[in-house]
Amino acid sequence: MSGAGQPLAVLVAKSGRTPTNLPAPPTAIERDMLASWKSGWLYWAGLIVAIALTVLGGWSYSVMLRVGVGITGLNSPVMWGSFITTFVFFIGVSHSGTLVSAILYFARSPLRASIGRSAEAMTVIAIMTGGLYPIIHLGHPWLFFWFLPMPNQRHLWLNFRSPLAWDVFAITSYVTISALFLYMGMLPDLALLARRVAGWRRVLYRVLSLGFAGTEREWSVYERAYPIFAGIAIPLAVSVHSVVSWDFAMGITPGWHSTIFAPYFVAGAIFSGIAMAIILLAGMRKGFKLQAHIRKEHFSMLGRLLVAMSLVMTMVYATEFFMAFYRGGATERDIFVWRISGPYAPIFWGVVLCNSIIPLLCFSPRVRHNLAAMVTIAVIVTVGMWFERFIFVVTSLAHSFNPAAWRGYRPTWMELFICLGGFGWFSTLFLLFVKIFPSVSVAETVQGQMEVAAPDDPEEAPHAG
Amino acid sequence: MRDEVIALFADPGRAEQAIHDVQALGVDGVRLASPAPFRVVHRIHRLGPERLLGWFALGGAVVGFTAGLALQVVTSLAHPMITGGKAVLAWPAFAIICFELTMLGAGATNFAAMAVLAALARRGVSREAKQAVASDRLVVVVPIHGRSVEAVHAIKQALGNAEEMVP
Repeated sequence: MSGAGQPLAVLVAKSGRTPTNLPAPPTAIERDMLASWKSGWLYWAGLIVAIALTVLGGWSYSVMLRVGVGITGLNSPVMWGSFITTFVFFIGVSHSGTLVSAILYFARSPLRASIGRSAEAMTVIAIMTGGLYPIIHLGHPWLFFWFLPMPNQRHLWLNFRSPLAWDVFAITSYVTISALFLYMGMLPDLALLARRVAGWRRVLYRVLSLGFAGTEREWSVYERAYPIFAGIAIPLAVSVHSVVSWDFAMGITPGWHSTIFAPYFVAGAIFSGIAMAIILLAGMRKGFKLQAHIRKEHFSMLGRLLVAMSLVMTMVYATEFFMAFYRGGATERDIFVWRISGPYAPIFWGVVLCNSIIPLLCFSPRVRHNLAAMVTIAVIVTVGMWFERFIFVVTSLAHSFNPAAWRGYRPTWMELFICLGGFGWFSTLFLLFVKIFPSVSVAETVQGQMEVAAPDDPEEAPHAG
Repeated sequence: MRDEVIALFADPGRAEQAIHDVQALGVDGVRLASPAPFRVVHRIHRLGPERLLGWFALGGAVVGFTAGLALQVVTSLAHPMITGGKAVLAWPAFAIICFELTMLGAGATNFAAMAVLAALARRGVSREAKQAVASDRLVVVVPIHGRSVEAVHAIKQALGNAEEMVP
């Protein structure tokens, strides 16, 4: 390196002569990214398990296609079960990636450089996973095109007054914007790393980087466009889960017909998304040796967010019960009593334990700085959130207005395998993503390192001592 | 490729100082390429067409909103079927799809505009200079075509004069 204040080199480049000492050797962050692609046994073991789950789910689904939806436990009156639960769960997981990343961007948080990329990838992959389940739930997936607004031989159009139609538009918009947001954030990194890699990855990076060169005018364009994108992503993320909640809340079914459902879903989505992010980041940190970039204090910050959202969720649960009892509707009150005392009560109380009590451990700094403890809590919250979705989807249908139609629901093994297949599919795509693309933002890491190392605004210099 | 002086810096502040020193010699067209959007980028660059990006996004939003509204209104009127007791033109229900398509239009247009403007913005920087950017170095490019040997020498001095060549 040069001395302080000196340039590294001044080169006179005449026509046709290329400076010979370029490019420079890889820097620490680049080396870490390059090393992360040389995966160890942990990565391959995870990938094999994920693919195995995907195959299991795919096989079970193929059985369902051949035999029919009779192999599931779905029957009147519980026509929405584990598939819709898994759909809501994954849309929830998708929620916090783009949302948190965009908020961290506006807050100029250094946390974003480390966790933003994988959180955004988690969003895109979770929507791609969650979006499969309404189609699986149809039983006749080849009729999915009925959801699309297109002229057809039925001389019917999509019913735009249906929340299910809103879902199609909301989720399609969200996945498009989230994918573009992820891609846009990767552009500078792809351009930088294209010079460091060889083979197919080099070709892929060069094509995907769209020729980005990092000139001051390009950065100016980029810095102008990115906040617009982040500003679009935040309300869109909130709207998507609100729309998913209206799939339920627009019906008059007791337990669903509530104005609190949209914020309830949004809060739950952020909660489950943070838990999933902790699990994925811990896996990346361990599997790819990214300890220098994904640090324990990052988990501590996520732990604080987790406990904050857990308190919000507890408040929402309490509000639901308060409203059911206070407004005096007999059916509404009955369904909530049934939830806490009927055949699904063990699941309900398990959800309370997982989502409202165990996350309180994150109040302790010792727990937040203990990676194993954080991952354990995150897994518990993830399980708790799936069952929380299960409870409100199933119990309201099983115990509605007409006592003569009350009937329980229990998912069959085939259904559970199809749901597990979703987790496998999600994990497979995520593992492939972090294998192929830089999982930590190189440009933002470099910016943080260089501008903290040499702050050029004296007011922003860290205080000595 | 044009004749130019390419200077590599590890420190954004030093690169900015070098740019100011070169500009003080009356040299125009100095360019900077960097691995990240350092603050220096905003200090040396006056906003160009990118100031219109917000307007592009707004245009996309208007198109998205209009498309969403037209799709719902036209098809509902073409097939006036009452479902769920809702009016054929159910404005509260239509607002949701209008909102989603507004956001989609704004985002997609913003991205497309960014890609086009960025492609235009990188014109005038040689391939060699672009390739010299790395995650630990900024590149200052000074065009010297048609300048005298003395002028080039002065530019090199202003840049730091560390003739040849590090790592």
